[in-house]
Amino acid sequence: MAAVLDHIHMGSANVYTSAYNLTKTTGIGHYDGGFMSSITVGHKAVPLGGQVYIEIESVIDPFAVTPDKEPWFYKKALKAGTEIWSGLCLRVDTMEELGEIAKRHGGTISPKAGRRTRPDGPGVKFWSAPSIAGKGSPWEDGKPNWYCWEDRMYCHPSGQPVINTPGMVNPMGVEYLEMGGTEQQMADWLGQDPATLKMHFNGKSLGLYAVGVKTDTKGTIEIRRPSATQPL
Amino acid sequence: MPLHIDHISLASPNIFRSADALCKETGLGYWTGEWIRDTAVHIVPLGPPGNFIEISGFVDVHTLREMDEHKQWILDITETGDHFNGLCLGVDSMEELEQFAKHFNSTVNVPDNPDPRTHFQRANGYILPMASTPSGKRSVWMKGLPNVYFYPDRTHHSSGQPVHPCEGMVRPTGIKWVEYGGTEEQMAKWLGIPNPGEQLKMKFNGKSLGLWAVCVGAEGKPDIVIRRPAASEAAPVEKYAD
Repeated sequence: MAAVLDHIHMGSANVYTSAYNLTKTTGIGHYDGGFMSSITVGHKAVPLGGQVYIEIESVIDPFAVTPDKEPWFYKKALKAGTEIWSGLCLRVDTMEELGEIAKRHGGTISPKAGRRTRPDGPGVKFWSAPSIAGKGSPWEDGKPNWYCWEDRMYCHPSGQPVINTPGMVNPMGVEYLEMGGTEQQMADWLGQDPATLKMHFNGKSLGLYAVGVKTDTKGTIEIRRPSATQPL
Repeated sequence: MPLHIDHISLASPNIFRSADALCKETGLGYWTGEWIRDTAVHIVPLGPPGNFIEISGFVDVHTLREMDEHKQWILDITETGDHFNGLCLGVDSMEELEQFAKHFNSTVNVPDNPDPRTHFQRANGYILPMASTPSGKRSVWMKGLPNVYFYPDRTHHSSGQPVHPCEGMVRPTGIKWVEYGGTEEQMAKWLGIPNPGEQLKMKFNGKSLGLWAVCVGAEGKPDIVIRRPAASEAAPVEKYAD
């Protein structure tokens, strides 16, 4: 089965401010997603409908990382002075599919599962690919990567309740993704037609530039941020 | 209700981890989402008559590149882990709060300061109005002393908000006692009341000033004692005295 869009990563310097401002300007709600296994990174989730969500993350522990060891997306967000689109994350249903994708890119499935501790208990566990020796995350090059969740789609982050907020809208799925590069470049990387992921291309440096979200009362809302690969 | 304990501040290097650990240790649930500028709190309601612990810490670590005295104090007291750094008492009227301000030879931090950066706000933008005393550039918490609050509207008080469910959750029934440094005489002098131990359910251990432990009742379960070092153990009060 072709991969589908799972989530979009937004790098931030302050997850609280970023999540609040995103909700305030779009009416799309968010909730507190807890912290990642590294314990240095806090997480807020913004469900978009259609089993897709935005994850906003930043460093939240002043002792856990020295400035030279901070995650690259955090440094980029600081440099940009705003949140950035740091990663686009696709989803496959099985570990076999994930393994095939990893192999096609000359890598493996990430050796350790990613984990996140939610405030309400059950941890979230997932695997990603490709992990390529000596190379950073595909995100840093503006390319999507792939995920497989443990058998917990029934409590997928896109389906959790958000904090009730004045002026909220009901998000009804991603209508489009504005990507850098060309359709051919993306097709080569994905191994599937980018149109199946509602991507269109602006010819700039690779990466995500904008997300269009369909809503029940405000039409399509566009969320635009600098791409991680844009020169700053 | 006369002068009473309202809430307790627990300074943390990582509020996400500390709240998760406290929940696993005690079964006390917490809610999330309140923040002010570079600092956020996770709130642990403790039951009637309206007590809570606020687990507070930095969430915007980049701002620490511009240091000030208060930020340095927070870093000093969290570098080695969680420390109780504030005991917050409560009164029921602005008149009572003003009397305390007078006793402290200070003023009241008003609840309606128009600068939004001076208020904690919740994830939905709600700001819980609160007034406190004493005011001043240096918090009395840094001296290991409690301050006093008044909430004009307690219907959205932090102690009454729903928590995230967690495994082995207990229903807290309120603070039974707190263990404080120093002596009862020191506390009586600070607050201007004759018997703070009895009135505020405080026991005194003679150590450096500040909160050292809190005991919370739990419905159908043994009492829960949460013990953490006082901030003054990590940063002696003399360090931040004039």
